[in-house]
Amino acid sequence: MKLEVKRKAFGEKVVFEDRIFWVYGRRTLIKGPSGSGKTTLLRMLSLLDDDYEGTYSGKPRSPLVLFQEDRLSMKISVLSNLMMVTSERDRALDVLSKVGLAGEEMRKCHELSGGMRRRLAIARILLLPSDVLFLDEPLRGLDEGMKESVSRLILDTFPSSRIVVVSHEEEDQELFDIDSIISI
Amino acid sequence: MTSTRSDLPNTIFSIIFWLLLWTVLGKVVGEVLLLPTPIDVARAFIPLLADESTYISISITLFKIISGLLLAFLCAFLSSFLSYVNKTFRALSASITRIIRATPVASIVILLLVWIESRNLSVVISFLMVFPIVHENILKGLDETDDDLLEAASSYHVSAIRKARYVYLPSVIPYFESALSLSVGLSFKSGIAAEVISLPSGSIGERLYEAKVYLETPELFAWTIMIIALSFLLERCFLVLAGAISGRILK
Repeated sequence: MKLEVKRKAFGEKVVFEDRIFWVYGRRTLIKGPSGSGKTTLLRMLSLLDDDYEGTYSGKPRSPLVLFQEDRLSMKISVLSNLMMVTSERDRALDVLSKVGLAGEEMRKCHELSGGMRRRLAIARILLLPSDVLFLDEPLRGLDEGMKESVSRLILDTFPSSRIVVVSHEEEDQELFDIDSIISI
Repeated sequence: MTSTRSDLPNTIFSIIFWLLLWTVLGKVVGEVLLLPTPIDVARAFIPLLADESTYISISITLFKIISGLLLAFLCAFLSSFLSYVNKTFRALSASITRIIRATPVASIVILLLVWIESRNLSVVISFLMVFPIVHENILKGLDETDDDLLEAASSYHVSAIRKARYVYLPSVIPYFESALSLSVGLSFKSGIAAEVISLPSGSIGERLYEAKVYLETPELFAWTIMIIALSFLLERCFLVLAGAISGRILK
């Protein structure tokens, strides 16, 4: 994947100008200081944002994004948040148990802790197919043990997919077996 | 629950207070024709409850008003959805709902009597009382649907039906319930006012009008109390039904 950006701006604020971003590794980490445009780059790479001057070759066919915010429907249950993307109830329950949310399926989403919501957002992407996975701060709010098991679960669920991770946590590099880094 | 229980003595006290004041005023006036006492009204109530035609009148009126209500819900869902997706339709429907809300009910009733059969007037009036409120509330719910969640749903290729069920409906339901509590009682009372003017055969409005014409003031009071009770019951029924439906959707 090669993204050549002539100019990307939000109003007057220029985020990228004459930059080329190569995603050549199987596990790529995008890192940089706060406000440097990591999430913006992830949105451009994952085709969520095409409002820029430039060219993009080798685009993903079915990009899948784990957003930095959990983006769950707070008024419905944990299980319904998964049923939003699949009609296979048993598969949804299986994924819930894999992320440690077994028995929580009928709880309303707004009753969950921050870490549980993050695991639910991760469970949702595990139900979807993808050739390139884009993870924005994927392990935010999870405790140490959970970080390891959830990152392993993601890698095992998408063994042949390319994964692009945005993170400022050093440990994520190891947890996701990162083999290339884009520094902004 | 606790607050309801603690309010109970005050509620009972206020009911007794107003009944006593009504009795005293009735006695002071001393003329059943002008102001019957609660006892006079209770005496009028008993034959009314025993009369089969009372229940026929209630059925006729309820059928018409509920028809208007259901039609209004259906049209409001459709029009608010079209307003949400189309700016021109939004502008058109906004102006028409504003006009309906601003126009006095009496003017609408008289105009409608020119255009439609009087027996259908209460259907149309209850529709017109409810439609703007439900339309505006549903549209507000749609407008306030979480944009981030919508973007996520689109990026996950969630189908339109699933998006409606899991994204839009949870956002709309609280607004719809609020519209119900605002509009059901209002539509019932307006529908009966329309019946009093158009006098469809066998309706509550006609019975109310007859009581007035034959100077049966206690019966007039009895029917009024009946209307208040029916309005309250209808509102409760709709809210319980809406609660049950929303409970299923928001599970």
